[in-house]
Formats: sequence, C-alpha cells, structure tokens
Amino acid sequence: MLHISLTAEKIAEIGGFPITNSLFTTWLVMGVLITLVFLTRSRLALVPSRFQVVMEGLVGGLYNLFESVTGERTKLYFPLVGTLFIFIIFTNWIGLLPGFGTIGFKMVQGGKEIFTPIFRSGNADLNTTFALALISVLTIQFFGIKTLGLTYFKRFLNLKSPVYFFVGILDIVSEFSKIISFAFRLFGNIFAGEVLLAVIAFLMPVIAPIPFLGLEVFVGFIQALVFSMLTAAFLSAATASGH
Amino acid sequence: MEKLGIEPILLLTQVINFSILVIVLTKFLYKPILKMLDERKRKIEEGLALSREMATKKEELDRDREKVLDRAKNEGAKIIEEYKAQAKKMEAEIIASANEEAKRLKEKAKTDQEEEKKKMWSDLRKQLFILALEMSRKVVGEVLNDKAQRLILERKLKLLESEKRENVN
Repeated sequence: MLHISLTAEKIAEIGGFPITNSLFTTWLVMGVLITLVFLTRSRLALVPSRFQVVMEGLVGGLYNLFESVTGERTKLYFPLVGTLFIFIIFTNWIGLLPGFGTIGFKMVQGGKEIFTPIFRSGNADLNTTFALALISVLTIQFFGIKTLGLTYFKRFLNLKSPVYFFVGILDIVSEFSKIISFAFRLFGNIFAGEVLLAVIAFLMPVIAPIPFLGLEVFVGFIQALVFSMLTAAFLSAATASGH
Repeated sequence: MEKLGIEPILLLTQVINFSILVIVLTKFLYKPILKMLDERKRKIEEGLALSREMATKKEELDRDREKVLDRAKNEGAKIIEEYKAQAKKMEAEIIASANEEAKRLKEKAKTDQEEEKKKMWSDLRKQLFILALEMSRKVVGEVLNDKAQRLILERKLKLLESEKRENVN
C-alpha cells in the first residue's frame, strides 16, 4: 500500500534525542556541502581549475543575482540569502534521487507494522522549513534594528494617527505571517512534490514519473529562488528608512 | 503542532544545522571565492591596461623607427648625391688640368725645338762665317788689303745671310 506521512518518521533515538529521516538527510546535505566547500577551498587558485570555475560561477552568479535586489548591502546579507538558496536547492534536489522514500524498514508501532523510509527530503519536514523561516524573519528584524535603530519600531507602533496605528498592527501581524508563509510555502511545495511522485510511481512506475521528476527539479529551483529572493526583498524593505 | 510533526528539539536542531552551514559557507566559500573573483578582476583589468599601454607604445616606436629610417634614407641619398657631384667636378678638373698640362708640354716642346733650331742656325752661321772668313782671307788676302777685304766680305756675307734667311723662312 502507498505510504504517505505528513510528518518525518523517527529512524533512531540517541539518549532521548529523536533522529528523524529528514534530519538525517539534512546532515547528509550538510556533509556534501561542507565537503564541496573544503574541496574548493583547498584548491583555490588565481588560475582556476574547472571545478573552481563551477563553484565560482555558482557563488559569483548568486552574488550578482542578490546584488540586483539588495544593492550595496549584499555583502551583509549574502551569507544568509546565499546559504538559504544553496541549502534549499540541494535539499530539494537530493530528495528527488532514487531511494528517497523507498529505501526503508518496517517498524512495529502500536501493534502495526509501519514502513519507515531512511531518507526524506529535509524540506518535506516542517521542522526544517520553520527553522529556516524563523532564521530568515529574525534576521530581517535584526538588520532592521541594526540599520535604523529605534526608528525601526515606528513602523509597528505609530501613534501619529489612527490609520498609522492600524497599519502598524497590520505590520506586526505580517511579520508573523511571513514566518508561516515561508515555512508552509516551502514545505507544501516539496511535500506535495514527493506525494505526487510517490502516487505516480505507485500507479505507473516506469516512464510516467519522468516528466514529473523534471517538474520537481524545476519546482525545487523555483522554491529555493523564491525563499531567498523574498528574504532579500524583505531585508531591503526592513532597512529602508522611508515609510 | 503535534499533528504537523513540529517538535521544538528538532526545530532547534535544524536552526543550529543551518547556522553551522551559514558560518562554514561564509567563511570557507563565499569570502575566499568573492575575494578571488575580485582579485582576478583586478588582475585582468591591470593586464588589459598594460597591453593597451604596450600597444600604444609599440605604435609610437614603430612610428619613430620609420621616421629614423626615412631620415637615414634621405641623408644617405643626399650624401651620395653630394659625392657624385663632387666626383663629377673633380673629374672635370682632372681632365682640364690634364689637357692644360698636355698643351703646356706641347708648347714647351715646340719652343724647345725652335730654340734648338735657332741655336743651330746661329752656330751654323758662326761657323760659316768663320769658314768664309778663313776662305776669303786665304783667297782675298793675297789681292786686297785688310780693310777692303773686310768690307767686301761683310757685304758678301750680308747678302748670303739675307739669302739664307729667305731660304729658311
């Protein structure tokens, strides 16, 4: 029977600390990324190797992309938005590899045998997307306060007129809704993609999943772009002085 | 929250995971690579500026060299021209002086010859005179006295001489 679970399954437990399959995959992605980073770093040369050209194209291209949104302050924001993009796109794409959601083991839970996959895309777990959303929104507040000082709070609490006061309340709500929308947009897209792939693979396992895999590759890229670009846009909005 | 699978401890773990990733990527990927890109950009700009400079310098040098070559050619031609003219002048001079010398030698030869002739003539005349005197003395001496002898003799000699001159001339 088709196995679909909204939550990430626990695959192990170390001293009461649950290790879910999505957390495991996140560590896998981290391992891959950090290996890539050190491979690049150890061979960094003014005359680049082919590998270095690829990495430079990635980092330099991303930098230029975000520079078009945040301008001169890109230097400040790039660690966050660049890592958001790279982490999300790697996590999304690694979830499309064969074996994700299919390799697993049976686990007895509540008297029933339940299939538990070892791998699950990190972004198909709300814990990951919420963590990213929280970091993103908190960083937006941090840079807002750092750049504008106390005047940053004026956009939330303005007693000049009832209209401004009301707008301020709306802004407070919107800051919280940013977390929710960031988290659920990413989770929804990736989880839906996984479910779609699982259903298609269940119904017709040969040929049919291929166009959907292509679609999911595109979705993974778009979601990474949307998440990081929105963060960049909010960052530049939060640090803009006029209101 | 429980239904969505959100667990604070897992959330926190993911926050930490992502923070580690941000730090590692920033420190070991973004900064070195962006620095490298900037440095390469600077190096390339420098190289391009240098090559531009070299190109203009080369052009300048080429122009200079051409100028020098032209000047050298012109000067060489001028020198050759000058020497040719000088050589022609010298040739003319040499020919003229040679001609003159030849003329002078010819003249000299002529005058020498004439003088010789004259001298010969005068010698001849003198000897003839002496001979005639002796002869006349021998012949006339017996007939005429000295004074008459001389007179006649002189007259005869004058006649002879004029005749001879006519003959010569």
